[in-house]
Amino acid sequence: MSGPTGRIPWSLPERTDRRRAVVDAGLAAVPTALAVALGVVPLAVLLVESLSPPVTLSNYAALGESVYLPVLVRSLGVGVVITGACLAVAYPVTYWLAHVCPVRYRLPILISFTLPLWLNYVVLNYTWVWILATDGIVNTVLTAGGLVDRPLDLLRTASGIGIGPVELPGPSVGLGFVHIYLPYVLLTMYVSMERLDYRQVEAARDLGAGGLRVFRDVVVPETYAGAVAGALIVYARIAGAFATPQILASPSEQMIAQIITTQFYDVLDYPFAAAVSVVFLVVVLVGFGIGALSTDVRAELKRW
Amino acid sequence: MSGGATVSDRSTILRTEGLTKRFGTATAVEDVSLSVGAGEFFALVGPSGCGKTTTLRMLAGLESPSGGRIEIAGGDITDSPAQDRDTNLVFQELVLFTHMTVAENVAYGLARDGVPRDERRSRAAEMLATVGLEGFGDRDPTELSGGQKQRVALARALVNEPAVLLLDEPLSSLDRKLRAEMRAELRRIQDDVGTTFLYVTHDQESAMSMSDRLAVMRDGRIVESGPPESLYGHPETAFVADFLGNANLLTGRVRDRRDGRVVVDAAGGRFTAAVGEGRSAPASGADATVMIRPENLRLRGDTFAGTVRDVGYMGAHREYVVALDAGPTLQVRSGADDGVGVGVADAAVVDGAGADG
Amino acid sequence: MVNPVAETSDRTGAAGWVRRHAVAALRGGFFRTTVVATAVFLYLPVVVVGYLSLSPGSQPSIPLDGVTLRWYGAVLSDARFVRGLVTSGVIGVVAAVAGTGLGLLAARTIVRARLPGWLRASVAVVVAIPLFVPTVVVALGIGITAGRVGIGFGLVPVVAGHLYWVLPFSTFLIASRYATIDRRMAEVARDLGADGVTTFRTITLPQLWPALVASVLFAFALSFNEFLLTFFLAGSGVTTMPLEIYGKVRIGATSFLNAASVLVLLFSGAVAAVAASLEPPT
Repeated sequence: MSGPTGRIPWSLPERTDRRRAVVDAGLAAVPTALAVALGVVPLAVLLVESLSPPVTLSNYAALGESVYLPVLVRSLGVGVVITGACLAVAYPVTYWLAHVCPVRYRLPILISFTLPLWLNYVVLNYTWVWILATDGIVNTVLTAGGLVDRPLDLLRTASGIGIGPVELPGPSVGLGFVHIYLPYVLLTMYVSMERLDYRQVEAARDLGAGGLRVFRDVVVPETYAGAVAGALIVYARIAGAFATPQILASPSEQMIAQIITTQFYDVLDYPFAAAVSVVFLVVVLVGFGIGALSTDVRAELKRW
Repeated sequence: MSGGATVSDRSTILRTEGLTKRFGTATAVEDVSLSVGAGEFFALVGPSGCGKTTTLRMLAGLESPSGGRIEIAGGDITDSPAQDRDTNLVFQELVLFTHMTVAENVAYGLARDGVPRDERRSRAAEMLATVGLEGFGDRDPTELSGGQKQRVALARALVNEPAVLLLDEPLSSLDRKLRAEMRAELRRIQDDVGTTFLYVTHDQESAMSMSDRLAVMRDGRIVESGPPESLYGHPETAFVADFLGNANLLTGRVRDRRDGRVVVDAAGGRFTAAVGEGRSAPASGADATVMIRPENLRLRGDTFAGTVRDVGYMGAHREYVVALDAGPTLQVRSGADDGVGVGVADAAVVDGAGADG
Repeated sequence: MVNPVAETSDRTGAAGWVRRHAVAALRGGFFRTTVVATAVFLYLPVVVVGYLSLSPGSQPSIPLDGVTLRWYGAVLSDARFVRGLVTSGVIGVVAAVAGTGLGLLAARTIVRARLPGWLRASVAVVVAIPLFVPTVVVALGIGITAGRVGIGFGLVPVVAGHLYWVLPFSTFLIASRYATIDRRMAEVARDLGADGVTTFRTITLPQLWPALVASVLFAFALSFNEFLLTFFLAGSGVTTMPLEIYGKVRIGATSFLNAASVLVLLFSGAVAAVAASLEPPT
C-alpha cells in the first residue's frame, strides 16, 4: 500500500530551518559587529600596543618599577572599600524596602533611590564641593554652631589612614564615590532581597533567633549571591573611575584611570598607557573570576 | 495491520503517505499514512508520547517531516510553510493573544486574505455566535473561563474556513463535566460548519464519542484505523483492544468453526466468538487470543468458574474482578441490579456472550 | 518581649551591654533611620546646589544674601554650553533610538534565534562587555584604535562609543521582556497565515512595546550623561554637556555652574519621571 515516498529525506528538515538560521544570523550580526568592533577589537589593540615597539615587555617592566604600581593597588583597594560601604548601607535599606515597608510605598521609594542612575555623575560629584569645602555647608554649620574652632579640611584631603599604598579614601572622594554607586548597589540588592522569602525570616524568629542571627543565618545566605554579583560590577567601575577622583580626590590619592589618561593625553606614551590598562584589566578580570567561582553568583549574573 | 484503506465514501481531503519525523536518533513518527474524508470528524488517538502531536504539527506545517508527503485536496503541501497551508490548528494550551480582544483574536487570520475591515468584523461576530459566544467580542481573553477560552480558540481557527481543522487535545484542561459538554458542542459545531476535523487526543472516550473514524497510534506508528464501532467491537490487536475501553484477553484454542464464528476453549470454558470483518477465521485447532468486553460478561452464568476478588460500586454499574479457577482474571461489568448480593470471595460463574477474536 | 537568644548568649560585661543595645536599636528605628539617612544622603547635595544656584553673586555665600534666577539665564545664553547641551541631546536621541534598535536585534538573538546555544551565549557576553570592563580601558582602546585607523576624534567616534555603551542596557531590558512572551503565539500566528514580518508586527512588537519605550528613555539618559568615553573620543571639535560641566568644574565652583547643574539634573530627572510613570521597573 505504501507507494514511493517521493522525497529525499535529508533535504526537508534542513531547508526551512537553515533558511531561518541564516536570517537570524544576519540580524544578529549587526549589534554583534558593533559590540565586537568597540568592545573586543580595542582590547586586542591595547594588548598589541602595550607590547610595542614590537614585541617587548619593556612597558610592563617600566610599570613594575614605576611609581604607578602603588596607584594600581590603591585603586583596587578603594574599589573594595567603597563597594563594602555601599553594601553595608544597601543591606538594611533594601531589606527594609523589600519586606518591611508598606507595599504601596515600595515602588515610589525604590524609584527615588535609583533615580540618581539617570543623573549626571560629574554634576553629582561636583555638588559635594559645596558641602565639604572650607566655606561649604558642613564647615559653615560646624563653625557657626561652635563645634569646631577652625574649618575642617574635608575637600580633597587624604584620610591618612592606611597601610602602605592601601589607604582609606579621603572624606570627599569617599562620599563622592558612595553617592554615585550606592544606587547601583541598591538596585541589584533590592532585586536579590525581593526574592528572599520572608517566611524564612518568620520561621527563624519563631524558632527564637533575634535580629542579628536572622541576618546571619537567613538573610545573608539567601542574598549573598546577589550582593556579590552587584559588587563585582560596581567595584570595577570604582577602581577605574576617572571623574570622581579628578574632582574630589587629593593629589596624593591619584587613581589608575587618571594615570592612564595623563599618559594618553599629555605624555602621549600610548604603549605605556596600554600596558597600564592591560594590567588593570587583567587584575579586574581575575577579581571577577574569583567572584564568579561560586555557582550561585554565576546564576545571579545570568539573571541580569 | 490496516493503516491506509479509506473506509469513508466521501472525497479525500487530507492524505499522508509514509510520514516520518526523526529528532536526531529518535524517531517520533514512523511511516504514518492516513486519509481523511471531506467533512469527516477524524480522531487520532494514542497514549502519551506515541507521536500523535508531532504528526499533527507536521500537518500544520510547524514541523518539517523527515520523510513522506502530505496532500490537501490533492495538492502536495509537504514543503509549504505553515502560513500558506489551508489548515488551522487549535493548540492544546489555546494560546490566545492576550494583548488583543476576543474579536481581534478571532479576526486575526482574516487580515492576511485582504478581507476588508467591516467584513472581518462581521465574520468574526458570526463565528463567535456559532460557537456560542455571541457578544463576547470586546472582552479581554484573560478574563474568560476555560470553556469560553476554548470556544474563542475554536472560533479563531474556524473563521478562516480551513480545509482541515486540526485540534490538539483541546479538552484536556477541562474538568469532566465541562469536557462532556464541550464534546457535544464540538460535534454540533462541526456538523453546523461542515469543516473536516482532525482531532488528536489520548482520551479514547472523547475520540470514540465524537469521531466518524479514528486511528490508534503507538510508538510513532498507526496500529489500526476505522470507525469507532469496528475498532471497539472487533479490534485486531490486543493493544487496541485494551486501549479503547477495557478488555479481557484470554488465550485459547479454536475447536470449531460455524457461519463465520468460532467456538473457542479458553480459561476453562467454552464459548463462541465472532471474527472481525474482512478477516478469515482461524482454523480448527489453532491458538487464538480472544477479547471479551467486561460489559459483555455477567455473573451467575455458566461459562467460567471463579471467585470474586473485588467489587467496585460505580453508581450506574458495578465492576467485579473475578479470579477464574483456571488462572486468568476477568473484569466483569454488570448493571446495577445484576450483581446485587454478590460480594468479595463469593463464587461466581461468568457467562460469556459476544466475545471477539 | 524577651528575646531568648539574647538571654542565652554571652551577656556579661561590655559585650553584653553592646548586644542588648544593638538588639534594642534593631527593634527600634534602626531601619527607618538608615532609610531616611540614605535618602538625605542621596539628595542633600542636589538640594544644596539648587539652593546655592540662586545666589546673586558668582561665588555664593552660605547663607545666601539674596535670591535670583539670573544664573539660569546666563547658562541658557552661554553659546558654548548650549552647544554642548544640544549636541548631547542630539547624540542622546540617536543613541536612544539606534541603541534600542540594535538592542532589539541583540535581544532577539539571545532569546529567540534559531542558532546554536553557544553562539547566542557568546553574543550575550560580547554585548555585556561594557558592563564589566572599566570604561577607561575601553576608552583608551578605542582612542588608540581610532587614531591608528585614521578616524581620529570627532562626532562619529563619540556616537559609536555611546552606542557601544548603551547597547547592553537596551539589550537586557528588552531581552528580559522578550523572554516572557509566549513563543507559541508566534506559531499560532503563522498557522493563521501570518508571515515572519507580520507576526513580528502584530504579535511580538505590541508585547515588547513597554520595554522598548523604557529602553529608549534609559538609553537617552545614559548617553546624555556619558562622560569618560566622550572625553577620550571627542577631540577639540565636539563638545557635550558633561564635557562642558567638567571643564568648568576644573576651573572652579561658581553659581553659574550650580545653575547649570540644576538644569541638567532637572532635565534628566524629567526623563526618569516619564519612564517611571509609564511602567514600573522590572
